[in-house]
Amino acid sequence: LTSPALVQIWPAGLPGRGWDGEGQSEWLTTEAPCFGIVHDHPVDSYVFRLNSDPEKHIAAKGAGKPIFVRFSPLPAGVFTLSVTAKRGHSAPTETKGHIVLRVREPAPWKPGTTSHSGVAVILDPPDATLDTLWEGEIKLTVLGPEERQVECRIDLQRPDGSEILSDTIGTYALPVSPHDLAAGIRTIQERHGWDLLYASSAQIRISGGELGQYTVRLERNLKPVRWVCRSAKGATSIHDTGRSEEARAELFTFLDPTDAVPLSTPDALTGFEVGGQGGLFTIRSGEHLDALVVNHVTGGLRDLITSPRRRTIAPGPISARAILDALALWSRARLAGSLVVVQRTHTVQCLQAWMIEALCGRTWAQAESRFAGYADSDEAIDALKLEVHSNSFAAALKGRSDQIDTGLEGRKCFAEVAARYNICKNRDQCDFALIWAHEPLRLLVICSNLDQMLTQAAGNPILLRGARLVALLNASPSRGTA
Amino acid sequence: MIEEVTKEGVIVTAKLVLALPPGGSVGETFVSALLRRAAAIHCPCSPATLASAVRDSLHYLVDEGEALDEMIDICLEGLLVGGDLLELSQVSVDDPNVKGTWVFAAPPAFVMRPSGAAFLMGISADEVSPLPPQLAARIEYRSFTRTLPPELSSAVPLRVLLGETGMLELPERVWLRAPTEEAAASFRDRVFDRLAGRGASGTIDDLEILDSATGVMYYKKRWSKPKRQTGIFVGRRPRTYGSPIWCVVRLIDGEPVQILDLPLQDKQAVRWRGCDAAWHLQMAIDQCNRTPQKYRSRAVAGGAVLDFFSPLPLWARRRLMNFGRPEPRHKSFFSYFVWQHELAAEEEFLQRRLWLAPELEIS
Repeated sequence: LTSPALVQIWPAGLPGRGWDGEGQSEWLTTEAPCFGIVHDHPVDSYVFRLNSDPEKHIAAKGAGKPIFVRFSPLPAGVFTLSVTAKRGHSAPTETKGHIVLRVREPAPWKPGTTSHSGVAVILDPPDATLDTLWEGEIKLTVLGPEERQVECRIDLQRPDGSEILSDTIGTYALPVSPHDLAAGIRTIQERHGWDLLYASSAQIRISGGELGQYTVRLERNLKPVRWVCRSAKGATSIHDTGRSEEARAELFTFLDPTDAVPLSTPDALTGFEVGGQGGLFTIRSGEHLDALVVNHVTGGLRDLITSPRRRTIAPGPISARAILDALALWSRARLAGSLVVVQRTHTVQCLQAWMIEALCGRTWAQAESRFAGYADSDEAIDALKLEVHSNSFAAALKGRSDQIDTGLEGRKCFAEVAARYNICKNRDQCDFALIWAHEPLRLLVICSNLDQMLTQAAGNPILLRGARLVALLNASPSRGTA
Repeated sequence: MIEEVTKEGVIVTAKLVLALPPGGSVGETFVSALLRRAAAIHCPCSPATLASAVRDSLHYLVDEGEALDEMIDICLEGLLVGGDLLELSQVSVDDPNVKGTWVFAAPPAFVMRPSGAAFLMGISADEVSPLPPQLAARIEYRSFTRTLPPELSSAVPLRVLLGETGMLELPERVWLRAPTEEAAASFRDRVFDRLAGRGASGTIDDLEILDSATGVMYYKKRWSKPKRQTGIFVGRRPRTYGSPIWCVVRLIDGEPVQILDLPLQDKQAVRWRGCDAAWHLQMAIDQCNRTPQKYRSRAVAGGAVLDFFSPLPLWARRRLMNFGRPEPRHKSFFSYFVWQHELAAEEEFLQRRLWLAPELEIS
């Protein structure tokens, strides 16, 4: 309101939609508009009038003291509220102003849309890599304004940044579902074949003209050395650092998964055909390592899965550490070839059994082997408990196994039982044993003195067997845990 | 009809429009709802615009002092943590005038919680919630969060009911995404190594540092201008426009010699906010200095309230929000209630991923 003396009016209680500070406002038919009014000079009363409705008189308060008014919800339309501030009866003065209320029905929300003129993208998994993309495990959802289209393109680069290809995945109406994009990605894979595996990074560009562009960056863990499998039969390596003399390539076969066989570095650099069934190929340059399991099924059904050659496992922490390192290599390697997941799982299980044998003894390892497949049998459980070599400790663990896991409370429970039966009173060792029994690879991440802890653990095989007992009981089918 | 109403009447009316539980008081739940409405009207815009819109609407209705500003700031951060607001890195927009610090209204979505309840997020332009009235009436508001409890007698699971509304379900792994687990020393050394590779920084005016030598229980008091310290510090450096840039800085005798902005610009860290990266780094530094930051656990019915004395990264607060709920502060920076059956796992998360140490309750 314009006056040398100020009367201020504003939407009160709710941020004003369309409020420009000069009298224009927007409301919904579901809202009861409220306004506050305050003046800085003497005013006796206010007169309100909405369109041609009857006037409403409200007494004013002192200067600087606001009054508030409320309207009943209004129907859709444009309304003009005139407000008059009055003072005096004999020589009245007036200050007058207008507020425009544009009232409309609320617009219903439309699924898949954004409220701004642009897109929002949801990437699942959030830490997706280029490998995740090629394995078809990325779910990309694009939300945006209805009836608009976006073009999705993919650009692939080599490690030096040079472009391998730039291609259109597709053009889609918003919203774009993960299914739509997955189909487009499969088409790209079919169109460009194995060349895609040379890429070290990719950008999926989602462009919608004036909606702007959103880029999803996907990287392969950049390593100076890395294997690229060019076909189902052949494997070749690429050495990205240019320091080829430093590269060391090795093969661990499925038959001897802990024994490295050196590969010729020149062959590894230029490419070679995978012989036999394949195995775990590693290439190292300084601290950098890349590992790839290639499974090449050569014969009939009997060749589908290869078991490691039987060997004598040296007891003790040094042997256990070496097997744990091999276990990590196999578990974390990328995969190529048919049935490779099944073959890798089998090899990893065998390695784990060897590591358990190194620390818990051959008799225990054999007991675990017998237990497998009979995990829900009371007889099998009793037989396993006997091999812990502390009946009371084993019985107590069985009784409380549903409370024991690698979480904080679970570890505490295990340590309490171990202390009560005089097996171990050192909490760190108990925690170590339990994590080793459930998630041995985690120790490589969280344990800074792994060799020392393994040495201590090897000195208390009963504790380790007890931890394994719990792990096996918790993994039994009736428990439903992995 | 026009009628005169009291201040309380205005607030009651506003709460009715916002579908909040009735009452004439102004708390975090109300302020958060006002911020959502302001976001529906103004976004994309700066957080300051939202704060200003809310402050204007509460003109003469509440005490407009620092307490209100602080509550608005807490709720704004809460809406970012809770996924109601998105930052520029999460969306596209083709407006050159949009600043990197602006926020966007997130599309309505939900995350299923371990309890079977649904955590609601997002903003629809005109509606308080895109849910049908019978579901909307069951929303439980607590501070800046909105949850929908499961209805055990219902034949149709809550997830299905929500899916039928067209709301997007965010998988828990997307919602609770966090940096890769790492030992404190490894994380600290990785950042410090990157800093070591930087050139000379020159003088930095108005630099503030978070001094690791100060007590971990009083976050605000840990910030100061460099004096004569030598070492590596988390810091904030001002810029001409916008909020300060979070950084890590090497000082010699109080003078900056190398500086590295946070978050690190690599494929992992770029997803996190600068403040999140800085707070996480300070936790690692404090742990390596054998003065880990603390949290306090207070047993209450059904679980425990965890009190924190320093800010947590957004990804950690989102976890607490998922497995518990925000609680009024109690001699702390902020507090969360966590259900008993989630407590052990969450405390382990705090200890393993943020390297926090439990503090005995102070009576």
